Amino acid sequence: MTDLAPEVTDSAPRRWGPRAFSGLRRVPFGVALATLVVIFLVLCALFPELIAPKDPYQLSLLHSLRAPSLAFPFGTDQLGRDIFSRVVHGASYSLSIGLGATLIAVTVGLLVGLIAGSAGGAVDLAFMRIIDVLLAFPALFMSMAVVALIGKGSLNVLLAIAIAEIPRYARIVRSQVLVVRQSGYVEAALILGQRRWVTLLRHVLPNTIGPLIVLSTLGIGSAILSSAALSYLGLGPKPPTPEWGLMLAEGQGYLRKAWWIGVFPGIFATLTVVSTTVLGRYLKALSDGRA
Amino acid sequence: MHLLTVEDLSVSFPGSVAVRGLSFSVDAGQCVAIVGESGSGKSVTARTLVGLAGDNATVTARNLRLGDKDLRQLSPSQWRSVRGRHIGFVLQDALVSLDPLKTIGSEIAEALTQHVDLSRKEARQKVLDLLASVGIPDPQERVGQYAHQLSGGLRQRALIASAIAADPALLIADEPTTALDVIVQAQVLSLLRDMKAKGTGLILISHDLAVVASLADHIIVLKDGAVVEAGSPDRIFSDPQAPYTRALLAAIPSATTKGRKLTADTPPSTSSDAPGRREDGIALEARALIKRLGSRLAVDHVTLTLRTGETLGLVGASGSGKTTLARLLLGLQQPDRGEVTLRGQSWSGLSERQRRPLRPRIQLVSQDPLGSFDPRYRVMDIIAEALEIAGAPKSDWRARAAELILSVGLSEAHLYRRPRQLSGGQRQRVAIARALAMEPEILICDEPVSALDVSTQAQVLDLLDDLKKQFGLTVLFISHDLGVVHHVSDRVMVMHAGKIVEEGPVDEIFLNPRAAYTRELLAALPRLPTHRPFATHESRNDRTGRDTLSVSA
Amino acid sequence: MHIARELFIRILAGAAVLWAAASLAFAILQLFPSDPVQVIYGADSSVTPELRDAIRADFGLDQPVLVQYQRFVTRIAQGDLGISYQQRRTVTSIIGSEIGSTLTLASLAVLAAVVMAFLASLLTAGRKSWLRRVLSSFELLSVSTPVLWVGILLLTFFSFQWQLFPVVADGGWRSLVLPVATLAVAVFGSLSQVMREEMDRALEQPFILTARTRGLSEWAIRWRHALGHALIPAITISTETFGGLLAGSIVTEQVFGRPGLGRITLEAITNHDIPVVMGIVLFVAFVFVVLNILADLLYRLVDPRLRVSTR
Repeated sequence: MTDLAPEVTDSAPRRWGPRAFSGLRRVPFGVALATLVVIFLVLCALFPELIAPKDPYQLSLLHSLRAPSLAFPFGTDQLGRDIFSRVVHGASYSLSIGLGATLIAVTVGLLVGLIAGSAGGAVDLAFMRIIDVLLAFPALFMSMAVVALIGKGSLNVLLAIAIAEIPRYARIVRSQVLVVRQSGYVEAALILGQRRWVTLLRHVLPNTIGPLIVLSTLGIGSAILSSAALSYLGLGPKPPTPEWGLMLAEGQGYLRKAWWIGVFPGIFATLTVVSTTVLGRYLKALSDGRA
Repeated sequence: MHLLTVEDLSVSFPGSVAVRGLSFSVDAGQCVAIVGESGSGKSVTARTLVGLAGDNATVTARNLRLGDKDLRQLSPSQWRSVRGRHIGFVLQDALVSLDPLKTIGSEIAEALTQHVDLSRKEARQKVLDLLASVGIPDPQERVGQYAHQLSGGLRQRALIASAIAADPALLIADEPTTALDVIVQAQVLSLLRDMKAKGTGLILISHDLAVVASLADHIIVLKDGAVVEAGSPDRIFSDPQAPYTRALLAAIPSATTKGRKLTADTPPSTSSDAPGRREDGIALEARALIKRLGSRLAVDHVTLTLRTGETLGLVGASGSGKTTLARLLLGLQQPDRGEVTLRGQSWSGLSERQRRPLRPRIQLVSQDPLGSFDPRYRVMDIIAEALEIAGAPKSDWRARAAELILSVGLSEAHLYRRPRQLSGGQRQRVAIARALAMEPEILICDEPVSALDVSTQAQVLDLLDDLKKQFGLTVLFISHDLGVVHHVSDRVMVMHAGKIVEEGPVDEIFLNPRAAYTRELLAALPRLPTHRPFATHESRNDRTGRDTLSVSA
Repeated sequence: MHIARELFIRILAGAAVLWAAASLAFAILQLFPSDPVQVIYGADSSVTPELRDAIRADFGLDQPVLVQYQRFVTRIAQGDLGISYQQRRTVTSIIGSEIGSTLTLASLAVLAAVVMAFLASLLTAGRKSWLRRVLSSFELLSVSTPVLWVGILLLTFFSFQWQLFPVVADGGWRSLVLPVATLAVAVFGSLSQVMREEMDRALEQPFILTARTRGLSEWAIRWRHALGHALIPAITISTETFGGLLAGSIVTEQVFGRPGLGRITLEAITNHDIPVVMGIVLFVAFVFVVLNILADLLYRLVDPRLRVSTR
């Protein structure tokens, strides 16, 4: 009973109208900026030629290791390729791996978590013990182990990252299912005499998926980080693919002469992850009712 | 000179005024009580008096002095030498008001050494003395324990010990007994009374007029940050001037309010005693129920008969097993032994599949209505789900929902709100409407009003009474509040440590308790002097004085 | 004595987790068999069938699956992680020779990160200051920036441009500075975020208000009351920190060309040296289990509510 937080009753019913859009003005500046960055990156991924017309594979030993200039905004690499163009073309790799791996991980994690959480008993126990064991390994390490088994390459990296993230999502889903199942509203449905599967579909599933979608937005960032690391370690796509992690690995020998080789791919990777993380956190705050 | 002088105190936060124009003074050995419902500004006042209203608060006052110290002029570091040293502060619920990671000894020592220079040994001795002085047995052993290892009463005593460690002249207690059971509450109040007798000035903040009645020398009634009435307890209880105070007093359920409405403005029930489908007999019966939770017998050989059309009250302290019993009766948990029968038919023995078609007949109104609503649902969806299960055709849902929402005293516009946007009382009405949608025979009310303010509680109790008559409901009413139970029940059962210690007609039990526990419970009940709820202006002059009822709350 | 019994139970449970991890690893190996002959001699060599069989028998691959499994579990229980296909050394000795370097790097980084996170949350929790805004932006960056890029940036500017620190590891303390900084930044972000969040929450609790009403200074409240509550989640995420640390050291070691666990892991993966990969997997699981048991003990030390009730 604190007097400091008066109860919000909000007597006016909400209607759709001009006032409904006034909410847009309250979006924090950082979130708006992150949204713009994500839109830009999606454009880079979908139409790289529009933003960077130069061919990212075009070798030109004449122009190797040029510092950033008007002709080469981000400079050129050791083989004279335009770094700006390579970085822009690299967006599609990172974004598709981030999205694809997260989508697979969330879907499988949702299934496993739902089964474990709904079944309870021995099934739950068995699932959770396995997940505990898998969680003993850091995601990147597990992805590396998976790559060791199934081989290198873009698609395998995507799979490896997805597999490594599954246990995390499964655990979140399972604990959310347990929270929802013990919630007052599921008990209320039981008291009303609602059928079990209807309760599962109407109350348990939607209230589990909501938080999961928000969390998976945050997961995209970590998937992108993993993919950059795997490529850097030489387990991802092969050169001359313009992948950010790979570009950093290839350029590392020339850092003494050309700082820009090591700077720009990293800026793009960081921007991508920062923006998706900012958006994810904002979504999470919205769904928790904090924003 | 007064111990504390407050003149024209106002506190505002950006966009809202929490307290306006509050004036009072406290002398040594005197108790001033500030009473109000949630949002009245009483806690803000308490915090302002120790300089902790918050960074975004604007505090103004014509005068605000502690002795000869002008509190308005204090720097943050001067405030720190006032807090604890000159003004002690006790919050409600010591489980969260004491640091769970520290021993109570170190918590009290911290309050002590902050203001007094003591050696380690001296401090330890002083802490032991303090523990003894607030009535904690075995101080030597308790001093090294943590808050979670103490019972609620001992914990609250330890909290008080830490507040008075540096021997402040003024003690502010903000709802010091709210989280406690009646018996423990009486003990803590008596400790506060002792301190008052020793000359400590006391400011007691509470939502409960009965709690302050016996302790206060001066009562201030706050509403929306403003004083609606102030005066001596004698005057306020016998001759309340402000309509709000009168309504507040009238809203307190007790023996004297039995059979009448708690709120003045609700019209008397139109369909009084219109029997819905009243028939004689036993609606629900439980035989020798036993339920073990962990190592503890939560329900221990409970036998219970709920007769058709009656309201059976179940009263007991927290942890007495009331809620577990309710869950057994609702078929949410299965008893280890014993059986529950519904209209003579098996109920607890059924499988969930067999029980499901019977479920609409027993519905629940819980303490936490918000938690019982799917967070994604609007009120309409909540009621529609019930109507769907009750078998109402989809085309009728809208009309039926409107009918139901009106019958619980809300308007149709509320159907399109989300429960989060409603107040606590409105949420409870929605929960009741949902239960009614099932057209139940039996309504189990588990602490339905304990989270509500007195005036909201009065409205909900009146509503339940109306609906019971209108629909011929049989009610099991569970509460820790003896006044509420007395007000609503025909018969009552007293539960203690999993057992029913006494049962019978409500007046008989409350007037002539036989079981020792019931006696202890009733003796501990804070007493409200009689009041004349709807005193007319003519009768205001012939003062009835302050005769205390043997049973009231 | 209660503690001893619970510790025993915890150790048993940990052993069970390790057994499960080993069995899982074994099962996966059956699904994705690897051939030592190919690892040792390459794909296109002309190895006689006799030699091939001899090599396979050497690694016990000629036995039935159940016998292999039994041998596998038995030798792991004895601390024998097998023999590398490629290096012909025991996996234990390979890990043993490289672990020191990783341990130095990791422990220094954790120390730095923990100290920074403590300071950051003590200074900024519960306040709306410019420092808080700066620090939380830094934390956001630190969890969103690829570790490898932090390393490359540090290398580019501090080693190549300004030549403050050596480019390659030379054994001196100066060559440790940049790798430790790289790894510490990675760990600091998540640690600091969680600790501050928990401290923010603690600062809103009633017991903090009680402490304030005793006249305690803001600093004393943070130091004596709020900090303890921030420690609990810091221990909780120790396992995640460990994960971040291991992943971080693999990358950091690669960027700075340092020896260590990361390098042998990468080598083993590139060369399909499966016994080494599995050995490292099991070693990591072992460290994780030990850390979890330690964390459980630490919890009890910090939070009396988790100790056996003495009432």
